Amino acid sequence: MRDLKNIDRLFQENLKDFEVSPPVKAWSGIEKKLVKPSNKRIIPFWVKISSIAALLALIFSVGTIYLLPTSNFTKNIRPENSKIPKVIDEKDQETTVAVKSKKAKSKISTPSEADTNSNLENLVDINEEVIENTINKPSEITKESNPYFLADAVDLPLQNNKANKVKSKEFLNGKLTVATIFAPIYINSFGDGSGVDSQFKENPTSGNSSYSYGVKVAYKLNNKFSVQSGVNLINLGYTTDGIYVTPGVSVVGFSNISNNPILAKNESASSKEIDNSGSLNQVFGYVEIPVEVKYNVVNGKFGINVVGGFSTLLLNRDEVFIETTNFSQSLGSSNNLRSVNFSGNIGLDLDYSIHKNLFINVSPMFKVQTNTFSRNSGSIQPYYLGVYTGLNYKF
Amino acid sequence: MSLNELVKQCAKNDRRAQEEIYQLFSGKLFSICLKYSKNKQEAQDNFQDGFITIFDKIGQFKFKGSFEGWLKRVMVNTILLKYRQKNVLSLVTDEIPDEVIVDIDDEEVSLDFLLNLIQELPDRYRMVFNLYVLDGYSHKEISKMLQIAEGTSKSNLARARNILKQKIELHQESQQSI
Repeated sequence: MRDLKNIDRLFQENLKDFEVSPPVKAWSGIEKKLVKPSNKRIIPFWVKISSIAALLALIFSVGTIYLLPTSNFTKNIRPENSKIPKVIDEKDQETTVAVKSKKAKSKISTPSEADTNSNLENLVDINEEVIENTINKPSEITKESNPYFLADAVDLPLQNNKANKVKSKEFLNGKLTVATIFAPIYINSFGDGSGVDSQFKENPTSGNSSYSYGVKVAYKLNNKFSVQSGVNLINLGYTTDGIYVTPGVSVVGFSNISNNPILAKNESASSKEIDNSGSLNQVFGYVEIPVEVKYNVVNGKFGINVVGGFSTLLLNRDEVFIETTNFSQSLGSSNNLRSVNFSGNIGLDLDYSIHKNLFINVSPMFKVQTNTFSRNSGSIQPYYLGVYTGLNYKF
Repeated sequence: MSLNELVKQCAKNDRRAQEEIYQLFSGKLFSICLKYSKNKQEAQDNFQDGFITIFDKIGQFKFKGSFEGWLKRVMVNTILLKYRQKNVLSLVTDEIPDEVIVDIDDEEVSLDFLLNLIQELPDRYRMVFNLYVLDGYSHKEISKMLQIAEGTSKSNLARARNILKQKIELHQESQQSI
């Protein structure tokens, strides 16, 4: 039926709510034009900065290995003023102790004669009887030495020495992670030399297996980067084999041993039958303060990270022993170990989450020490491998 | 998945969520395109552009008010933007009748016929007629949306009504003459 109608209403009634399906192909056209999910993420400014800092830390830690002066490692010249006191046993002129260092009273118990195995306590006033004895004049030493002369066989096969240190790492998602760590350490070194004396650089040397322990703190900068530090104690040791001990009062003045020797133990073996081969054990320990950057490669329950950084090592233990099958004796501390040195660290960090805030990590780390020795050590450059295992708690 | 969750997923560029939203609203939005466009081909182009704009800006939807309303506004704005860019000579009419009456039988006109009439209107008239009559915007709102004077909007509307009336009557005459 016909009607007078407002034209607006005519259109409203017919068109207001109508729906028309678009052509089927419309969606594919839209889909093509939709922006692909962007892989480019906006990197916050501070992430860039921390990345650069991490890079610098790596460069620095590696750079110190090569850039620090190496002259300290290669000079085998004994300082002119080093003095080797000769001590004459009161009872037996043939017992000689050549000790380098100041006046000190050293108690030396030695088998004095082949037929006397008793230990003699000798008070030796060293400072009165100092003999200027340099390595350049070996004849003086040999002249004085007799049965108990501890000779280092210069012409014997070789050696070398120590290394050390520690580090740690770990963490996950919490900003702050605290961990206890423990690590078995395997030590060795690059280059020739001995931490005891450069004359042993030809001797066979081996690192002593050791361990490290401490605490670690890690702070998460973002999803990828963390920084970590901590405090570790680490004990290191190097054994120099092929040392020959001649019966007699021991000890030549080794250039890097400063303390007075003490013959600690003297088995009752007849001096005539003493096995005169032995080894020098250099034992030293550090407090290690690592500063490392960790980069997360794989996230999740099982995580993989790459770690790089450096450590500051503060010497807190230093002693040298001579050991034979029959006795061992402390020769004192070495005076060529720097009280502060550094190491460059690089390694992996694998972590496994066992609870929301708790995870364990295993981190094989390779650390190369720099400027460990101040002098007279050959070109030795200690390094060590450690597998740092930790229990971590996230805050 | 609720609509809100779908919207959130779309904001993350989740292709499946986007398709779901598309399926839910494509009918209503395509009808808008048909009304606001010159012909079906342009309607399809505008529909595509509008949806791309929607997915581009969907993260700006604040979950206040109706999502469908938001979709329609984005679609309309996309189309307006397109036609606004074209200069339209605006005709000024002095007399602006409040309403235009046609003598018509509902049976005489189909939806397609009415839609066609709208599409044949000049761009500006079509925009104003759609906005004012079908989507309920005021002249003030339209003047802002199209960046024209309110008076222009009113005169455009009047012209549109008159054109439509003439065409309907023309149509009636041709029908009767058959």
